Order: sequence, then C-alpha cells, then structure tokens
Amino acid sequence: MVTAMGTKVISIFDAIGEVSYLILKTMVALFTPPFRFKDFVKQLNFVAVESAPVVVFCVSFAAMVTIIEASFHMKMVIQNDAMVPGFSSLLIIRELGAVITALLVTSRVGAGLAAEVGTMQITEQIDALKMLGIEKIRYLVVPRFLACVIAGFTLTIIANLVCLYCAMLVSQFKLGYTFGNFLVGMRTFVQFQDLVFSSIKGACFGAVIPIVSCYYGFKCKAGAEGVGLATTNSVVTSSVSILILDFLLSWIFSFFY
Amino acid sequence: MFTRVGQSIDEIGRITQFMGRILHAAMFNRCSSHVIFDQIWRVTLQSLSTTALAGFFVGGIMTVQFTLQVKEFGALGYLGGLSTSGTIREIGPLLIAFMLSGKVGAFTSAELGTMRVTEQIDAIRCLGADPIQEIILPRFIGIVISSFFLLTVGLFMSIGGGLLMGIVFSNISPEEYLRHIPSIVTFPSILSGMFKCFVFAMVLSSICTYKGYSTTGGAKGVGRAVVSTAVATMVGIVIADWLTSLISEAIMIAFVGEL
Amino acid sequence: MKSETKVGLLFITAVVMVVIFAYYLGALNPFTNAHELRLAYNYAGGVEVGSPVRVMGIPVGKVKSIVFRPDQKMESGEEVKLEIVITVDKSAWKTIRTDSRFYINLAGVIGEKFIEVSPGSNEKSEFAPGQLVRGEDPPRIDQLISQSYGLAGKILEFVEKNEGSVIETINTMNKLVTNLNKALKQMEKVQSSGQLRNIADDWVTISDDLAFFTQSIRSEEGKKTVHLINKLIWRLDALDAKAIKKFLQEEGIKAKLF
Repeated sequence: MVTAMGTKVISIFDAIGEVSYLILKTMVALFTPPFRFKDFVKQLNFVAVESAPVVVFCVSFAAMVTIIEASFHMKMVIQNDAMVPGFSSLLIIRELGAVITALLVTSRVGAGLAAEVGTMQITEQIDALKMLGIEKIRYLVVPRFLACVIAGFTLTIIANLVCLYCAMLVSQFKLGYTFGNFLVGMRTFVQFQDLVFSSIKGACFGAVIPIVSCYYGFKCKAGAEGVGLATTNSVVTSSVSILILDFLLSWIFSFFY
Repeated sequence: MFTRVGQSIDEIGRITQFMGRILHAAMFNRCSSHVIFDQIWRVTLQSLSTTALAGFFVGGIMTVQFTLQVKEFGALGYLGGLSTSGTIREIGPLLIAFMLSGKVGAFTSAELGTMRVTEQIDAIRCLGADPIQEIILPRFIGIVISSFFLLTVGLFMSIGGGLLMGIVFSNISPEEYLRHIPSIVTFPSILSGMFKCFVFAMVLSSICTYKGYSTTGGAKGVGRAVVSTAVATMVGIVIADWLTSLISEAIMIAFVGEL
Repeated sequence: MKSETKVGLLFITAVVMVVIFAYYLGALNPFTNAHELRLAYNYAGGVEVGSPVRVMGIPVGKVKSIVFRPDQKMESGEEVKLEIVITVDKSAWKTIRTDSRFYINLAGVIGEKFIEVSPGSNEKSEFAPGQLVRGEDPPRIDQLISQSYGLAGKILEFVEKNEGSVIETINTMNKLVTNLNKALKQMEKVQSSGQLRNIADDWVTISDDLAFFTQSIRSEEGKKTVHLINKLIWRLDALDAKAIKKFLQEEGIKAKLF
C-alpha cells in the first residue's frame, strides 16, 4: 500500500518535471531560429479554420440556452427580466464563450494531436526524426503550440460575438426585447476590456492544449490500445486543467474590474 | 458542402440504426446483470475523481462570476441561491457532461476501437455470439447509469465548490450562502437538471459505443475514432441541452401552470 | 483554396467582428460625427469618462476626457481648475447656443451621472468647436444640507426673539384689512357720484407707476434674479423626491427639538 502510494507520488513529480521541461524547450525553440513557417500555417488551418464551424455551431446553441435560463432566474428572483440582456451578455463574454470554445477545441484538436503524435511515436517516426538530426520539439510541438495559442485567441473572439448575436436573436423572438434594448442593456454592463480578458483567457487555454497532448503523445505505449489511452488521457487532463485555469484567471481578472 | 451535410445525415441514420439494434438486443435477449454492474463499477470508479474535481471548479467559477454581477445590486445574500440554481439547471450539466465525454466517451470508444482493430469483435462473432449483446449492450447500459450517477455527483460537488468560493472570494458566511438555496432552487429545477443529466448520458453512451464499434484501420483508426467521438458527443450534448431546455420548459408550463 | 487563404480569411473575420463589437459598445467610433466642447467645472459630482451627454433628455455624446488644470482662469477671472471634454453629435450641435447651460445630473436605477445641456435660444450664436465654456457646478448636497440647517436655525431664532413684534404686525395687518373693507364700502356708495372720476384718475397714475416698476424688473438686475431662481429649480430637480422628503422630515425633527 505504502509502496504503491510512494510510486504514485513519484510518478506525479515525474510528470510535473517532464511537462515543465517540455514547456521550457518549447519556449526556447519558439524564440530561436530556424522557424517553420509553412508548418505553422498548416497547423493553423487545421486548428483554427477547420474547428471554426463546429465551435460556432455549438456556441450559438449554448447562447440560446443561456439567455432562456437567465430570463427564468431573473423572473424568479426579482420578478422581471429587464436585466437579462445585460446579464447574459456579460456571462457569455466573461465565461461561456471562452470555456466552451476551449473545451471544443480540446476535444477536436487536442485528441487529434495526441493521436497523431502517439501514432508517430509507436510507428517509430519520432526516432527516425532523431536519426535525421531534427529536434522533435521544434518540428512537432512549436508550430502546434503557436497555432493553438493564436487559434484560441481568434476563435474565442469569433465565438463570443456569434454567441452574442444568437442571444440577441433569441431575446428578440422569444423574450420580446428588440435589438436596441439588447444593445443598450449590453452597453450598461459589458465593457470592451471584457472581450480583451476573454480572448486572453482563450489564448491561455489554447496554450494548455498542445503541451498536454504532446506530452501524452510522446509517452504513448505501443499498440492500438496505447493510442486510445493517450488520446483519452490528453482530452481529460487538458479539460480539467482548462477548468482550473479558468477559475484562476477569473479570480485574477476580478481584481481588474 | 452538400456532401458533408449528406454524410452527417447518413451518420445520424447509422447511429439510429445502431441504437435500434441495441434496443432490440435489450428487449429480446437477456443480459446478465453481473456484467452490467461490472461495467457500472468500472466506469464510475475511473471517472469519479475527474468528475468531482470538474464539478467543484465549475461551482467555484459560477460563484465568482455571479459575485461580480450581484455585487452591483447589493444582493449578495442571494448569491448562494443564484449560483447554485444556475449551476444545477444549466452550466453544471453542460460542462460536466463535456468532461465526461472526454473521459468516459473517449475511453469507451478507444477500448471498443481497439477490440475492433485487433479483431476481438470478429472473434466473438466466430464463436457464435452476438457482439452487440455481449459487448455493446452491457457497456451502453452501464455508461448510461454511471454517467447519470457521475453527473449528479458532479452537481453536488459544484455546490461545495460554490460554497467554498462564496466564503473565500465573496466573504459571505456559509449559513447565509446556504439559506437562500432552498428558496431559489425549487424541486422542478432539480428535476430539470436531472432530466438533462439523463439525456446527456444517453447521447454520450450511444455515440461513443457506435463510434468505437465502427472503427476501422489500425492504431491510427483508433485515434481517429476517439477524436470524432469527442467532437460528436460535444455537438450532440449542446443540441440535446437546447432541446431539453425547451422540453422541460414546456413540461413545466403544462404541469405547474407557470414558471 | 489554399490553407493560407483560409487562415487569412478567418483572421479578417475576427478583426472585423472585434471592430463591430467595439463600435456597438461605443469604445471606437471611426465615423465620428461629433464636435468637442471643453467645459470648466470646480466640482464635477462624480462624472466619469464615458458618461453620457444629453440635450433635452436625448443622449447625443459622451465625456471624452477629464483633465485637471491647476492654473486655468476663465475670461471673467474666476479660477476653474477642472476641465471636462465632451463630444456632441452634429445633429444636436445646432440646438446648443452660447446661452445653453451645462448641468451635471443623476439618472437611472444605478444612479448614473450624466451631463444635461439645456437648449439655447435661436438668437444666440453657436459655439465654436473646442471652445471653453463654464459649466454649472452641481449642488454639493452635503453643503446644501448643512447650509439649510443653519438657515432653519436662524429663522427659528428670529421668530422666538421677536414673538411680540410679530403679533403686533399681525394685528396691524388686521386693522389694515378692516380699513380696506371700509374703503370698499365707501366706494360702493360713491359709485354714482362725480367723485368716481377722481378715483379713476388716481388709478391711472398708479398703473403708470406699476408700468415703471415692471420695466425696472426687466432690467439686467431683474433678469439676474429670475435666472438665479431658475437655476435653483434646476438644481433641486437633481435631488429626487425621496431625498427632499427625507430632508424635510429631518428638518421637522430638528424644528421640534428647538
């Protein structure tokens, strides 16, 4: 029992050390030439452009539900829902837009990355890279890292605004507030810095995804089962760390309002 | 563009067909309850800590956000009720189900996919047994029950997380936080949250078993199956969230009279 | 389509969306159609950058910046140390004339501060963009209350000290009224006699005098008085009914204590 626990604790320290090493290496490779611009654009296309439809679709549904539920709560507590446009747009911008986008990108890109890197690992392509004298981190992690950070930033902005637009439509057709009402309510509560904070959040979440996925991908064990496990682990770990990070960032940003 | 839409419609059709086969198996063939309980135990155990952690943090986040909003009106007393109600009715089930789709969904589809590509499923068929009944059905039922259980646990943890953040971040006493919960969180609210959890569990288990079962092509195929499971469950959950919101509202209007 | 093109399109979409969002929030307005005015205050009563500016109750602009100017003087020689730069839409610019007044007012559920501009009269000329104008300092509610406490105290004191003379005055007024009554009765009696003409002549002189008096009211001095009264009413508007009620109640308590 004690031995098992000891091994577990040691393996946690191991993991922390390996992740820190991975982050450090990525940072160093990020700011030193040679840069792999072509790879970066290709990854950006995969991460940002191809995720955009799914993200926009999901987020707009989430926005509709949010505003309907917000109206329900307001009616319950203060007997009218005049504040709903303001409140729900604030909730969308500060919280929902960034988190839902990040979780969707995690499940799509993070899982894909882990599967890709894991497959490369077990088919010994990464060893082949080493033979050719190519650093695996510069070749694999850096373009993905950069692409994910930028995609997180961009997709969060797009998701937030699509979300607001959908909320506006719902409030027009279901709750009976005109676009003008909605905009006025939004203007009283939402400031421009909310969007800035939200997109910073998105970029931070984007940074988590490739690091976690590549870590699990590099550690992938042989066989189909290994790839499955690596993918699952990377999705779960990055989702949980995104939630924790979101909590921390919400706390930090709350001192700036 | 149109081919893609057509493909996704095809996919939905295939999932429905698959569900039909599972239901058929559930109706006409007896499946030993021992195997189902085994599945429930396994899924629950491996995801309990993740779900609880996620729920805890979701509660905390909601409390922090609601504090910022409620403070402007000086209605800090209502914080407990509002953030709990918001978490239970809407955000909690959604985010925790996202988490579960990563954990349970991806795990199951990876497991089934591995079985498929290592030809274990074909081996079962060779032995004269129906793989749907032997492998898929216990997993399907097990995942529905245990996801429902896990989502509920996550919701309770979210109350705990909200309470902690209420004390630490917004400086209100635990008694005050808890006092307003029963006045705002009504029984229909809890029921609607539970209904959502159940629907999410159904969506999750049907998609992940289908995707895992229809895997093709080696280790790479398993990776692809996991990715598409994660994406499909999330899209499915978001749509189901919207539909259940509409349905539960309609039900409540029909039974309670008004909201 | 090349992936570069797609990525570029996505980025352009994002940037366009941010610009639209900023435009709707009012954080950015590239098609600005507004003139600026510089208002000088000594006390700004909590106006912030971004507070709305309204003409006749309609929002037409906002506070752009607030600057402290320790050695600024108006043309009249008054030291005014705070400068608030506001923007006013072109559509509303013509209603603001050199005799417009700039009040700081309070509105809404949350108690948002805004700058209310009273429309000017058409004879006066328009402002030049960027002109420095003296705004009306809002009432310091704390000062107002303390002043009125002093005033109320003084009135009470006066009444207490001169109780006798007040009664005397009232008695005198009573006598006056009786005398007037008598006069009226006599007038009725003499209505038909020739004395009526004399009285009518007297009336004419009196009305002449009255005309002279009203003329003097219309003079510069009189206008100032009327304006002061107007200003007082404007300022009292800012206090809502509740505050006045509360103030009066407290005053009542104080009076009882005396």
